[in-house]
Amino acid sequence: MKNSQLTTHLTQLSETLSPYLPGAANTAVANMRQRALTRLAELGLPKITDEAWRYTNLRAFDKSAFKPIAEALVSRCELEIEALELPSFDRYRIVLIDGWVSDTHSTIDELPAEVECFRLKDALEQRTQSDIVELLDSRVSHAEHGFEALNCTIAADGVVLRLPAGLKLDKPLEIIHVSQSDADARLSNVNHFVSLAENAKLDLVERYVSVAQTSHMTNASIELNIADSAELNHYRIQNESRSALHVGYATANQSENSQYRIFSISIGALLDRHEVKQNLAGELARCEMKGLYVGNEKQHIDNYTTVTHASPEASSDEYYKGILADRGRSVFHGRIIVNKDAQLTDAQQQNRNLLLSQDAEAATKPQLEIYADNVKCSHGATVGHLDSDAIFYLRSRGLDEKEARAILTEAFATEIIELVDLVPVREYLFELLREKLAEVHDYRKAA
Amino acid sequence: MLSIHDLKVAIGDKHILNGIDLSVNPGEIHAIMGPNGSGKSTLANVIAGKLDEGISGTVQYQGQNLLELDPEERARKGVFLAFQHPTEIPGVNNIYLIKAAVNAMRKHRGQAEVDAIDFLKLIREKMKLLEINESFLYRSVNDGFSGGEKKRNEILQMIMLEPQLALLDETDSGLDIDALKIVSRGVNSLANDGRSIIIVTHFPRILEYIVPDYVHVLLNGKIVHSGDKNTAHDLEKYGYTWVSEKVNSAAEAVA
Repeated sequence: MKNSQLTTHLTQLSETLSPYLPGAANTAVANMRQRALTRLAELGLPKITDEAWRYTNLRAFDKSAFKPIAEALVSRCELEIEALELPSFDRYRIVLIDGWVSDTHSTIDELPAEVECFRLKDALEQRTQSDIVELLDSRVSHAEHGFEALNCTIAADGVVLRLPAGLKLDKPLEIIHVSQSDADARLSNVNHFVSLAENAKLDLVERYVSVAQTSHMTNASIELNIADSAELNHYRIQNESRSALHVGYATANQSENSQYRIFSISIGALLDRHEVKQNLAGELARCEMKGLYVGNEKQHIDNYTTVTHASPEASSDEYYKGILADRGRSVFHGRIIVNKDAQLTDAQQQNRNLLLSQDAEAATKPQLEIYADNVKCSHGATVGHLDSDAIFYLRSRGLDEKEARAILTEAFATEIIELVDLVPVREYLFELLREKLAEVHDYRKAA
Repeated sequence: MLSIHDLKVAIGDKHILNGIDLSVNPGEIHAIMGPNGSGKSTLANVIAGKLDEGISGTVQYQGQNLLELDPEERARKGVFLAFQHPTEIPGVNNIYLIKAAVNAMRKHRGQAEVDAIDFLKLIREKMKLLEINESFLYRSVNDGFSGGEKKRNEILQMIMLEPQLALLDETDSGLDIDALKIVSRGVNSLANDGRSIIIVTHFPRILEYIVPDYVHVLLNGKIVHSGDKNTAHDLEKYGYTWVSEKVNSAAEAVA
């Protein structure tokens, strides 16, 4: 299907769906959906002729096939949530199944009373939450490609979370997104809105998992608003079906002296595009962006990040590492924009890739746009193989070659994982990594 | 233990070793001395398995053809090389590596994995001997180590792995006198009737602390002189030119 036809198809689809989506009777919501739809038609779905999608081809997917499922059709009872839990992880939990929040599996009501937390679905249906519609409207205006517009036009559910000033949540909040589809082509569309008032603190874990190895699609957005001196640690772990198409966005807006730390981990999906849009709006705001991606077979992982330094003396520290095996491919795009007024900016960016086979590929593209004159900015990118001296060193100590390669590959990723402060999450990541590396550790094709 | 016959190594057109003959029996300590570029490290690398091309001649170890074995097989059969320039391996814990190595040896011998508590007890004891701080164990292998720390780490690994044939490739280079004494103490703790040690160096000083049974002088890829520990003293006094002159005059006498 051609892109124009596809857009027409999606347009028809959202028109068909809209009466059944939450907030159908709410004019503001209906208007937002209509605007998003117009935007979708304008933008079309991404194609490789778009500069921002130059290395990521969506051809392998029949995008017209992906459809969201009505909430009433989601079969909750079959979900064995225990099997998906992290061992000894004491946290609040919200579960979404195929894009819908599952009240039965979530523990929203255990949150402290001062914390405001509700479903997007409810917000769309109640006119009192008009600010949420405004947030969606703003996302429509800023949508850079069709998936983002699509995400808004069929917005249905997600989590709205607001931490009041000074509240440091006593336990992490975990949002588990489960794709339960037993058939192919299901679309999970998610919109989260998280805001932290002054001096609030939150550890947020977002996990994306599939119950079956089907070809489903996730189109997930999280918008984060971090007020003065607030602190947010965000762990985003994507481990979906190896046939899935995953598109995600984390959009963060930081005020003065706030701190944001994101771990963007991509292990699963056939194609994963994760965008981080970081706006350092306030002075002395600090953000750390750590990424780890591991791709094998025919996986394609695309991290598209943009950091805007809009105020003086803010710092950003971006470090993404990737391991590619078999025919795995990755794209890293790191854009840093330093506005004219953002003097004394400190912006660091590093992307390192390890290729384990001859057919693996990594594309890396730093893009610095600096308009201030007194800044410290540095960036670096590497694409390499395992160090043959290190392999020999380990072999000379009695470890066989395969073991030596496994240890060194794990060590490459360890540098990112050991920065994770939440022990159960860190252990989980090591486990995921080892499982994945056990798969890719057939080095016959190694260079 | 080790029997080398007519070993020649060429890298491309360059001849590094030009026919080495060397026999090392169990319990013996041999020193191989020579100036920079004489082929000392190449010899050590051939024995450990880092080089596997351009080699002719034979290297027998405990009755087997050593050159046929992979580096890890050599290690498991008791060959250990303390590197001149130990590789830095960020992200791999020192203790993790040493334990994995100990277990690889044990597995080869048909033994069960080492008990975690016994292992820790033993390694702490050995660290005391080498005056190594505990934090050493939890740092990445050689990563950010000073030259002296790297050398001590090599000796710690060696003591933990209890090799049959230990090769020390310029372990003394870059060590101050105190560190040299500590490292020598570690090596001497390992010496026994069944074990062979080969010390590769260009300074005689280490041989004051680890006393060799034999000293071989390597020049231009050939052993030109073999003697007892006094050879080291002569070298200290007269330098390598003394040996080369001696060799030349011997050659003239034959001619």
